[in-house]
Amino acid sequence: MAQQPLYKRGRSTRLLVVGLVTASLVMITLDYRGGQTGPLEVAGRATLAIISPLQRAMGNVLRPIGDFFGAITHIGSLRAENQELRQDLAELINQQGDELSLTARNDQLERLLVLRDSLDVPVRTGRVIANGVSNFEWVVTINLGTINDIRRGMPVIAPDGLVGHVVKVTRQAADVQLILDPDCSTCRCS
Amino acid sequence: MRRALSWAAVILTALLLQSTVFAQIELFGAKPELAYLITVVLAMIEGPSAGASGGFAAGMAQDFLLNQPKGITALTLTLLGYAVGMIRQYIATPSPALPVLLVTGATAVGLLFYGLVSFLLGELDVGWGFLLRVAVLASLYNGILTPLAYPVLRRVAEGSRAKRVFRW
Repeated sequence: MAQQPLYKRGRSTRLLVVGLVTASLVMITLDYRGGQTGPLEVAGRATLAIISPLQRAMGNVLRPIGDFFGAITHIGSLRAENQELRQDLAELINQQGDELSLTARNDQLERLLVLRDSLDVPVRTGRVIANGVSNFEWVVTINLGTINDIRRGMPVIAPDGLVGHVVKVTRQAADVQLILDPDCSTCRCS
Repeated sequence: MRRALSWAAVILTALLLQSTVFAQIELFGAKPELAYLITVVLAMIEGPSAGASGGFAAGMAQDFLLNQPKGITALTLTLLGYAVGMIRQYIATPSPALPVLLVTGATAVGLLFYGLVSFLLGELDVGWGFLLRVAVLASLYNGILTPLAYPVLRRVAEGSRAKRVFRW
């Protein structure tokens, strides 16, 4: 090419460019008209089949480099994502804790229900609202009182069995002395 | 023949790199356009006709390998290679910033041309704002990569050029 005189060189270049531009336009038209089944699409798929092993190999080799530099450019968004994920995790752990206690409560209530159905004396169902405040008294307070027909001396049971008897009653609450209490003698409970 | 083979190897390597490593390293969300980079540098070193043929080959390779509408990148890069080769003949400055500036400017113009042709064919899936942003960011990325790529490509060009024989 360097031996040709200058004007001829310019013309052959222009010819070359025109030829290449025409070839490009032909390719565009072929692809446009051919759609999914055109010859160029098939050629494209064939090329992909040849190239993809090379891409995979190169990707495997170069992925650590890409990850390293990619992490640098993404560091802001990675940090934000990390923060978000931590918050989500904390929330989920809380929820899980709530669920566990709800499940336990559910179990207990179900057992109480079974118990109540298995007794044929009138039973009142209550809940412990306060534990005893002293180290030497094993007393709990329940949320049933005289308005629920609770009297002194009534036995108190839980699904696992007898737990105590009523020692003090007010209108809306009652104190139950547990049989744990050394002061309680079982023969007094009836 | 050897020249064609070595440049073909360069184009293939560039496309493989672009679809693997550079797919992960983004500049504010844009990936580089290595085919444009190679075409412009080739045109700068070897002249307009080599720039046009190299651009055609690189564009065809990119369209086939990256599963884009075939022919548009080939058209863009052919014209881009020819234009850069012609312009280069009229620029006399020996400044080392010339490759960077030329690559950046040519990539931006090339990408906008690509967008325009795609739009005319109805193949443009993105909005003009996105296209503009990609053009700017990708050309900046190309410009940043030019100081790394230019010496390598010049070595390839000089290595494959036919040796001149001096007779006297």
